[in-house]
Amino acid sequence: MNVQPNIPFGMTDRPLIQISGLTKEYESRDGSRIQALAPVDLEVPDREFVCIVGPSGCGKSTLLRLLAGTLTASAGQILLSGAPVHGPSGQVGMVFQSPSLLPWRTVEANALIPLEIQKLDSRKYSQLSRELFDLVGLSGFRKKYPGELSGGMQQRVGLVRALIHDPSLLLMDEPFGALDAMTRETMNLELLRIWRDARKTVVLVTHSIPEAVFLADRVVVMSARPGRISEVVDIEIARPRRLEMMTSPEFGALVGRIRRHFGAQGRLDA
Amino acid sequence: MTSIIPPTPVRPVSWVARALRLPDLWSRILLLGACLAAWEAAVSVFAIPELLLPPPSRIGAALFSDLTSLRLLRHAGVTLTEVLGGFALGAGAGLALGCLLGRFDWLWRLSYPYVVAFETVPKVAIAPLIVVWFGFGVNSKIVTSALICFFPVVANTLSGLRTTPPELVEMMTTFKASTGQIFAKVRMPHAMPYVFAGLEIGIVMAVIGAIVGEFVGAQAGLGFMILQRQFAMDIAGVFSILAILSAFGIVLNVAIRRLQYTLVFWLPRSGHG
Repeated sequence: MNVQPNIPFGMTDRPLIQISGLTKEYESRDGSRIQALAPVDLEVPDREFVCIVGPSGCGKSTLLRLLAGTLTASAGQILLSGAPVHGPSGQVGMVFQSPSLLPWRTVEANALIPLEIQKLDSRKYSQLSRELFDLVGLSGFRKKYPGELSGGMQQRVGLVRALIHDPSLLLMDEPFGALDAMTRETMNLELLRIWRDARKTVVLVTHSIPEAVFLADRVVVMSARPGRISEVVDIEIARPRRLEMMTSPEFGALVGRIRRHFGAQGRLDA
Repeated sequence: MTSIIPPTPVRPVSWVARALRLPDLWSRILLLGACLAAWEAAVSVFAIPELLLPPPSRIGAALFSDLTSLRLLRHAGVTLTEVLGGFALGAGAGLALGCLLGRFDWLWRLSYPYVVAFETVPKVAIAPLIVVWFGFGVNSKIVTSALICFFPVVANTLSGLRTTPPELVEMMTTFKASTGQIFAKVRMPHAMPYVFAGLEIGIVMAVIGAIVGEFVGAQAGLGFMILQRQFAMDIAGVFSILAILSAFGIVLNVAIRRLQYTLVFWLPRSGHG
């Protein structure tokens, strides 16, 4: 799968992501400062699947955008493969809450956008492109337009687009939030399969605690105002994960443990 | 490319057409016929002088002789040249300025008071000046026509560029796109339907501009012919030219829509015709 691995396998013990003392403040309209993110420290090893859960306004999306380099930190720093993040980088792929596809481009032309933007030779990536389309089951839809696809299919195109330039880190901002429950479960299973095959590090933000527990190696629980990490929960459920595992007592206990964080300050929205 | 356009929804047939069991086109022709008949009858019953309002039969005769006369076709050719020249110039410049103002925010902040000031000047009021500057020939009409169709295109291009969904811009930024790349790959294509809305207004304005220019001072063209016939009290002849001008407008409008359906193929078609 890895056409050009960014880090040769086994070459580093360093975590892929090292976040230390990271804060983000916004200035509101009346000039007062709003702290969106209290100092946050987090390390994510290579090829780990991390989910971030928390209520609205807990800064989880802010954290994701700081990782993507589209926001600048007020203090602290993020190291990605040891290098500080200043602005967007080719090492990162992102899947957004809405599919964010360009309606005037074919499915394939949409997926190839990162290569086009970063002026990478698309011929070198054509093998990877074929594999990714096979992986998400959209090989027959490459010449279609986004308007002809269902919501779940559009989000899959977004996933191919996020992986097309072979980034080491995949960021996902509530990627399946707009899908119906059935499609969502299918997409979760597919995502785990892709993660296993593509051997990427994934940071996924979600509103849904069961979804986080189902997907993650570790769940980062955040709380609001200011956004900070309240707990990092290790999920030691065997892989590959299957939907019926969601009814096991172990699964229920983990969900319950995470949910307790939000009992005190109201419920998690959605 | 056109195959992806969702099929046009079945056009609702008017109750008139349903009642008469006729397709829409025929009921429209019937409506026109009924109006013309009423007009003809009214003129004859109330004995309205032909100088005030000629009957449709007289206008029809004038139209027939116009359409078969080379002299009138030559005048129509002059006006068409003015309209197309003015539209190409005005819409082209409007699109270019709209893009520049949309692309470079500093340019917009620097110049928008002047753009708005210029926009609010009634262009018809400048027409006499333009004839003074550019002469009685075709050039002054092209300039008038261009001026009058310029702003709808600027305004629509700008609002198209401005309404680009922020999530698309964020997507591009995340994948390391530059401002120029975002403009070319997202904001411009997104603005296309708006640009075409501007062009549709613009082509109508271009016809108005050319006629106004000819009214102010000209040696040829359909507007010039209207004035001549008016002086000659040939009112049926004036109506005949109005019918020709209206046909101009319809043909040009349809041409723009055709172009839009080809270029903005990802949006469903809207409206009628």
